[in-house]
Amino acid sequence: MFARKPSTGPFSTARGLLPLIVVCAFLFAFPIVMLVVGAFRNQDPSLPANWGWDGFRTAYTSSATYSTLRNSLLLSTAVTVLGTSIGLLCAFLVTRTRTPLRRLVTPCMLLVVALPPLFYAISWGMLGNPRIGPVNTLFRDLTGSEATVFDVNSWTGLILVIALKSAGFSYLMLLGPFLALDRGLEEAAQVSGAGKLRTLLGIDLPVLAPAVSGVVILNFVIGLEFFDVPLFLGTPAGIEVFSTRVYGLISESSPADYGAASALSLLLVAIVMVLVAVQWRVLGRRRYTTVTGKGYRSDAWDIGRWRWAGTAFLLLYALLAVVAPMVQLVLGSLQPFLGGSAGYSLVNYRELLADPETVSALRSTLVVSVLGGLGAMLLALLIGYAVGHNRTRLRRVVEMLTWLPWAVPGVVLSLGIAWAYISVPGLRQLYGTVWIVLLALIAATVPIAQRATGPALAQLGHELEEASRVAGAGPLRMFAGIVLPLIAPSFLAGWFVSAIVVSGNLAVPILLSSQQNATVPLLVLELYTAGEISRAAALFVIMMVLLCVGLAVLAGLARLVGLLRRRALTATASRPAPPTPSAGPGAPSPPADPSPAPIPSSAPAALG
Amino acid sequence: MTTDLVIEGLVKRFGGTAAVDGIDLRVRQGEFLTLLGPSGCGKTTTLRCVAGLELPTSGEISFRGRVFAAPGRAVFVPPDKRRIGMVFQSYALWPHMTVRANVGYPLKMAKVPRAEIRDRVHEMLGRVGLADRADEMAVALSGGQQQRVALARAMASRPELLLFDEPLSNLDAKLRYQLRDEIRSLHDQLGTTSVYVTHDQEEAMALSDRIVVMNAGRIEQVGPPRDLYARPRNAFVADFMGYQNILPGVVAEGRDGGLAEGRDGGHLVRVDGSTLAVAVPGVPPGPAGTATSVAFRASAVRLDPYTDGPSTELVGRVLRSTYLGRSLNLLLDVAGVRLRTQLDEGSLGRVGPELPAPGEELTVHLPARAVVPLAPVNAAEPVGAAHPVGAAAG
Repeated sequence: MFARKPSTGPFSTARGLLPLIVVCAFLFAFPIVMLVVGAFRNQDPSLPANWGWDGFRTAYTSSATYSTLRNSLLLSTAVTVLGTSIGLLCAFLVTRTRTPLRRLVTPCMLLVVALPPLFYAISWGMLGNPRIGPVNTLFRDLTGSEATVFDVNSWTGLILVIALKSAGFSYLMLLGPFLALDRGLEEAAQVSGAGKLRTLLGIDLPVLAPAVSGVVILNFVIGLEFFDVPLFLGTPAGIEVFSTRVYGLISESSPADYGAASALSLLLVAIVMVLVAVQWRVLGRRRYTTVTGKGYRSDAWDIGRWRWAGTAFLLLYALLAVVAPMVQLVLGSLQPFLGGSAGYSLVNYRELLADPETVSALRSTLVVSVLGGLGAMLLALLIGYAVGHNRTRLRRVVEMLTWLPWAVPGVVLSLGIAWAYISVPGLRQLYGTVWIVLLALIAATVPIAQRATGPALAQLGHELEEASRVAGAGPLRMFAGIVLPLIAPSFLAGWFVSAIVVSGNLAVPILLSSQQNATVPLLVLELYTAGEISRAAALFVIMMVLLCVGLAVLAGLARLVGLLRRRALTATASRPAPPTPSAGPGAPSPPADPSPAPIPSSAPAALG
Repeated sequence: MTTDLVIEGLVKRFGGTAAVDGIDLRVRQGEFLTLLGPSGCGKTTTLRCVAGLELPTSGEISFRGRVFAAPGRAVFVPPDKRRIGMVFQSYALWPHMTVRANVGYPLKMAKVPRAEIRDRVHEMLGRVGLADRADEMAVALSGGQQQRVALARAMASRPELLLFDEPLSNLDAKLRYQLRDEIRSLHDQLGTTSVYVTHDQEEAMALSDRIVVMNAGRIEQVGPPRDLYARPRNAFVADFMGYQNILPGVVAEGRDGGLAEGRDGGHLVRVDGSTLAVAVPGVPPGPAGTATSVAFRASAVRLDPYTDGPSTELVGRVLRSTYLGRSLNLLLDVAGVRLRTQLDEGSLGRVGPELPAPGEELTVHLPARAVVPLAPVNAAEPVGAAHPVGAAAG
């Protein structure tokens, strides 16, 4: 009857947290430690070591290193300013005004966040192609001139495309604080004699400052870590950034300079960790933005005719970030030669599906995406649950460990993972297999999965679990009967998003996959750099369609299970009720209680 | 009556701070006991230790001879094995279940046959007046109805011990009164032992057989509501029980002020920083000069001289006068001490046609038997430091 190890539930003690810490340390911290080792090891992970400072010498004496550093900082700054501004403006228009079409912004932004960077790289690579891209051909057709108005393979192109994507992150992260903004604060300022603009600048902005600065830092970090878009759009223009240089040191030097790549990665890791630490502090203070009091309202402002300008802005953003890239991807994939006048045909699809190598890549990508998304969600769920149920100091260790994958770009993470697995005897066999790719993808996707599980777990009050325990359910029974059903919808949604993010990840498999188990993004890159752009687009479309069909089937199954369960429940409930017992001296209840029912809000899981 | 719940030397630390700092308590079978105190006093932590939702740091909790928790002997019964019922502040109804499923859950866990579950759920919902709402989703109900469902759920499996963690604090006043009565009548009908946590003094008085006043992780006083109301042990309890005047002072020499010591063993306490001496019943806590303090309610003063026993004549200047219809509240400066007094509308005729205005002089009488001598709070901090004159809630 008495529990051997006294605890109020799983994860509540320091000892209960230990297995999770071991897993997190192995997945997140160990690769970074091994990166340092790799920087001195100076050799392909599969070859014997060649200890020395050569890697650091190559990395830090080359002037190219400092120009890529400058490029990266420049790109990040520009993207941060533009992306945060778009996100702020959208959040303001959606939460504080009656701009027409504002309700379409959140679904649109969710889509922007879920679409892999690779999608933007290919579709904008086609849209803004200087010779045959629709942006330029349309301009030429309209004006009759021969000029090129927009070349996506340029600084402008890079900044625009990355900013379009990071605006999605910014918006979703700012939506909560904007929604929590108390109208009372504004009214108090206006009663005190402040005008609307003064109120916006003097009251709203300072109250939102912690959230905004958190988003700014996050955008900067994401800007530094971008890999796919600079690789596709920057390389033709000769623009090299930090992460593409790390990759270049391995793919373009002969022999591959793993030492220099690792040594260079360490600088990026250091910069990003400082920024993440700053952000952590900033977000730690954020609490007062979400103060909710009674009589809290957030009415919309009347911005008059400006709301049409707002609609125009939202439409332009949706056009550039969602509609045009999607249409272009599909149309481009249907052209035998991009921009050619041969009309549309399915030849690309036919040939791709006839190629056994492509088919096997599709198969392994689907498996890796579904499993990787599931793994990332399960790990994120465990971490979030454990951190929420533990009050020992070890909880902080877990939190700190889960910040590491945020701080490490995919290329660097996969480099570290290569070092980590090659150095552990039992795991060495994994090198070059699809399993190491899967593990690395899980580690890289946990931060995004946490965005999905966090709000779901926060919504699940502790008292709901405690009530179940007191009612006689053991920890497992409580988890299965209360926690799982309540978070299942968010979990499924998060799984889908994670799977899509995994499927489009190029940075991880580019270093870890072998030719035999290449995933689709690698083939897409191969086709794109070989100039077969429309075929690359077709391959990407096939992958997305297959993935969406697969996920839809999964969702259908989940719904079916839920439906059957509910039917089983109602079957027991619909039997005739016994007559009301006469003993009921409890005070008669009024027909309707005046107090409102606090229905738990199903806030959209902010992903980013 | 037999003792049901025994708490001995209970300590619960979070990091370095003790939320519960040595609690000893015995709850009798069928008793309704309330833990009362300000937020952070350890009342909820104590309750959660009893429920098994917190692991005590040390001490022992047992119920009907069955040890619930004894960290010293590595004994801990998890909450699901304690056979208790609990009502939470946030109702804690499972949003994915119907009212029926919520109430039936504890019975399902106890492996009660399905048909019996139906009957008992129906009966419990009948008792809280919600029999017709059984098939609605629990969170679709209003706040008051949700808490009734939570009540029904807590009592569904007929637990021997019922715990309440501020169940009414999320409801508005009218519903609070109504549900308060329902809780007590359900307790009486089912004959359970109940432990109830609240920070609302009135709620505690209305519900309880006994009240435990807690402060800083310790018990300040235990007793029936009337005892606490009339004889608070120290300044903390007095303040919590609504004593507006809490005056630190010393035992005065002699028997000035016409106090007849012999008649009911009274003594005089001279208020710190003043020449004011107040007549107090009972034997003095020590020789003249011993630090002590006294408390009395604003409503204890009267305009007529008091003749049935010793009293203190208070001659003061009106600082503030607030007319409330039923009564008149006056803030008086008596020999440098600010006193809150309250006069009945009925007795105001004696003052004259006009109500006392600020600056006027007024004489009132304070019967000694309405004055409560106080012991030091927790015997640790000096009473006067925590409750400066005039700072008490009025």
